[in-house]
Order: sequence, then structure tokens, then C-alpha cells
Amino acid sequence: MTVAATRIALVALLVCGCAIAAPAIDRVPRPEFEGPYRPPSTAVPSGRSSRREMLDVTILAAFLVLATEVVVRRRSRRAAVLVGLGSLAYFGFVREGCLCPIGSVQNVSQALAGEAVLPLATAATFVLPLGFALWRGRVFCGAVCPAGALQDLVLVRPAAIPAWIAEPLSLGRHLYLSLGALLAATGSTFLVCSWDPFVAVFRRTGSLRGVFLAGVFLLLAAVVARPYCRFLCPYGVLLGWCARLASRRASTCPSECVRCRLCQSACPAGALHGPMAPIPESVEHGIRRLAVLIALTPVAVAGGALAGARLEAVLARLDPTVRLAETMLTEDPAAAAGSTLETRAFRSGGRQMADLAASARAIRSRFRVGGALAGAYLGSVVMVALLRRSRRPRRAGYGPEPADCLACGRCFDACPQARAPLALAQEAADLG
Amino acid sequence: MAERHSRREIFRAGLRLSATAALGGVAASLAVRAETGPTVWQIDPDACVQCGRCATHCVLTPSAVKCVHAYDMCGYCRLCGGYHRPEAKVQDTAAEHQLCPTGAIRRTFVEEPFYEYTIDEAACIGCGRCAKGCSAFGNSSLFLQVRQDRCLHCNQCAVADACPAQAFRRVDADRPYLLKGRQRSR
Repeated sequence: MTVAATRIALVALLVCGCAIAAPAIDRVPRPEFEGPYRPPSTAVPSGRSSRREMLDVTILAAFLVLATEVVVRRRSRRAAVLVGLGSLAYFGFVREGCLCPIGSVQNVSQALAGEAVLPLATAATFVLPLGFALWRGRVFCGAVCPAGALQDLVLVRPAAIPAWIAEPLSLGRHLYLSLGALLAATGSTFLVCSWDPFVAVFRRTGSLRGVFLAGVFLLLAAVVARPYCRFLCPYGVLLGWCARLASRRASTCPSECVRCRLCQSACPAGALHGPMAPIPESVEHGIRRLAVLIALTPVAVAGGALAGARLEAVLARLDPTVRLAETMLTEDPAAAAGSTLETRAFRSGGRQMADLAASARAIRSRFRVGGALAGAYLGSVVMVALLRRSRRPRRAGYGPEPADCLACGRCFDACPQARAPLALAQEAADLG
Repeated sequence: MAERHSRREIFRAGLRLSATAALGGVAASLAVRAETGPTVWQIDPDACVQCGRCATHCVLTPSAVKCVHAYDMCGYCRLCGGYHRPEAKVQDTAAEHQLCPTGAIRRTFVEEPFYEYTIDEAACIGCGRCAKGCSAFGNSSLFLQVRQDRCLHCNQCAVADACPAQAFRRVDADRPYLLKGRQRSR
């Protein structure tokens, strides 16, 4: 038999015998070439350099500086809109919305839990808008965030949402933050990325869920100002905390407020409040209510922790390893092939069921701890929101609430004191 | 009143400074732990089961995942498990005998009885049929890899999320390929 025929017979025998996928082995021996041919090496296109990411961080810092200038110093709504459009163009459509500070919360959570390493560029993306918020308010939200700029762009007829609806709804941000951080810390999935409504717009394509969410949110954003920012954004929670400490922020009135109330309906996001009206209830009633709330606080926090830990069974199923372990346990262990693609892959991969079960148990215990923390956090958030109602806000005039103000600049033109200097200058020019 | 204001302001300023320091400190300590730079997504070829989701779940079309060939592992067979359909009666380059749906594998004769198989990356859609065939009937020298010049490096890789074997890893951007064969040590 010729060499060729021998080889074909050998291969045919192996083909018949090796129908089950097995770990790679040398079924066919390495060829020995008699002629000049030598096997080439596998071509590998070069990986990307980290320079692109550092460039993006630099551009983010530049946009933040620009936003601070136009929103806090110059107080120009038009300039803020232009900066926002520029950011939407670059961070939204050129970089397609990734990596964004909102998503970086998950990376930080993952790094804090020890699940992954935080690259320098991601750390910078997380820290920069917060740093600016600490000193100059939520300028990131106002003129830099591409999602915010997109929502601002499509807003045509803002409907005023009453406070008794908007305040409980805004607790959704804390829920999203704790869920997103929990699922990232356990290494399960990046919830905020998977359910991001704007990435389908930025990429001009997407999965069915992505396109559907984009449609829903764009329609909603046409009639409700900044729905994602006000009710869902996890990063906005952190920005709000930082903005409370800022000394200089976007302000409605450039000087002393005279309470003319012309700006009352200028904020579509409901962040503009005036001095508190006289309280109808008696002081004793207020003190009693405060005492009840303070007594309830540890109950709420502990209750939240317990509820969060109990929900571990439901939450853990969002993790692929836990899902796989549960599916494997319900399947017939003696079956050669699994019922789903995941179990088939597991069975053919040679991993041990005991290892999988151990991993799943470890992940579930992390969900217990994480769930308890998330529950305690949410309980404390609710109590703080209730307790804050017992406190008189120190507001002499009309102005934006520091934590809620998205620094969009819509209220700038409503204040007559902002226009007065211009009018006086015009008069002076007319006179002489 | 003015006294209380200034004390309050000083307190807030102190809080602001310490918050800034804490923010910078936490971020720096987390980032410094990273010995390497950014990470990119890559497929572990030993874990991959060639299910075909790489072609359908990537946000790019065609996918950023492509098949690569470890030539030093290849057997150079006339009947190639990754090139030919199992039911192919004649081992030639006819389209009806090929596994690849886009015809991205090129078969050239080298010397008797060896044939070289190369992948045309522009045509490859990352479906993994050739890799599946090669791992079933051959040396498993055809395998899927994320091509770093195409990949967008999403924070959440849609393919990684959908992978049934959880074969996606984050690897150092300086050594982004998990190759088979003698080049594995790269």
C-alpha cells in the first residue's frame, strides 16, 4: 500500500472510532515533509494598546472641565447643550457608550469583592465625575453624560411628576445600584450593561431587548425629563452624595434670591424648591413622629438585611454557575448527554460535578452576605428618606436641591437677576 | 447665625476634602493592585465546545470571533475533519463537501499525501463548525479566538454571557491570545 492509502485508512479508522468529542489529542501524527514546505505560524493581529483608553480618560476630564466652566461659571444653557451634544457625539456614537462611568460602578464593585482587577483607566473613569461632583456639583450629568444628553435632546413636553410619585420612584436608583453591585461582586453578570436602554441607540443596532428598551426610554424621555437619571441611574446615587458637599454648584440665581417665583416651573426634573411653607402640624406631633421613625430605623435595616439574605435563593439563580449546578442536579446524572446546551457542554468538558457544586455553594454564600448588605442598605435608604422629611431645609430662597439637580441649565434663563445685568448694560449703552 | 454658617461651611469643607482623599485613595489602591494594564476578552480553546453562539451573539456582524489554525498541530490530512463534511464521498474542494458555510477554508496541496488548510479571515464568521469537526475527527488544531483588532472590548461581552461552557476569560491586553500548539507559551 502506498503511504497515501495507509494514511487514509488510518484516518478513516480514527474517524469511525472518535465520534465523541474528547480533549484534544494527537490522533493524527505530525507530518514529516520531504519537500521544502514548512508549517507557517498562526497569525495574530496585535492587541489594542492602552493608549486609546487613557486618551478617552483625558477627553472625559476635558469635557468635565468644559462642563464646569459653562454650567457653574458662565451659566449658559446654550453652551451646556452644545457641550452635551459634543459628548453625545464622541462618547455616545464614536465610542458607542462603552466604557462609561455608570458601568464602571460594576467594575469597582467587582474589584472590591476581589473578583477582578480594576484597570487604571476604569478607575479614572469612575473617580473623575465623582471628584468634580464633590467640588462643583453634578456637572457630569448636566453636560457630559451621553445618556443624559440623549434624554435632553428628545425632551419635548415635560410632564410634571408629583413629588409623592417621584420620590418613591427615585428609590429605584438605590435598588438598581445594590443589585448591579451585588451581581458584579459575585461575578455573575453586568446587569447595568445588559439592561442599558441607550447602548442600542449608540451602536445603531442591538438585541431585541436592547432595541425595545431603547424605544421605550426614548418615548418616555420625550414626556418625562431624564427618566433614567431620576429613577434608575446607579451612578447618580453616588453623584448625589458627592454633590451635597460641593461648595459651588449650578445655581438658578446668580446672586441673592428675591423670591419672585419666576423660576418655579423652570425645572422639568422637579429639583427646584423654594423655602419651606409653614408647617401645618404641631411641634409635639412632629417630635413624636421623629421618635417613631428613629425607633423604626434599626428595625427597617435589620428587616432589610433578613429579607435580602432570604432572597438569596432567587438572586443566586442569576449566576450562570449556580443555574448550571441546579440544572445538572435536576437532570438524570446517568444520561450521557445533557438536556440543555450548557449541561451538554459541562458533561463533555470533563469537569467534575463535585467541583461545580462546591463553586455553586460558594457563590450562594456570597449572595447571602451580599443580599443581606443590599437589604440593609435599602432599608436604611428608605428610613433616611423618611427621616429627612422631619428636617427643615435651610433654604432662604428658590434654588436647586443639590443632590437632585442635574445641572442641565434650564433654570438659568428663568431668573430675572441673571438677565438684569444684561438689561442694565443695554440701558447704559442706549443712554450714552 | 453667621458663626453657625461658617462652622457649617468649615465642616462641609473638611468632609469634602476627606471624601476626595478617600475617593482617590480607594481608586488608587484598587488600580495599583493591577500589575498589568487593561484586560481584553479571549476564548479558552480547551473549554470551548464550539456551540456556534460566537457567530450569533457578538454585537458585531460578522462576529469578532474567528477560527484560527494551529499549523504545528495539524495533521495535514487528505480527509480533513474540519474541512470536509462527514458524509463527503470525495475529498475535493467542492462546495457541497465543505463544512464551512462561507467557504473560508482554503485547501491547497503540499505534497503527497499532505494538504494545507488556511483560513480566510475576511470570510470567517466564527460559527465553529470546522473547529467542532476538527476536534471530533482530528487533532483539534482549528479553534476559535477573539480577534483583538475587531473586538470592541465591551465591558459586558454578550458572547461571554451566552457561552454555555463559560469559556471566556479576561486576559492581559499585552498577551491577548490563548493559542494552541507550540505557540501556547506566548
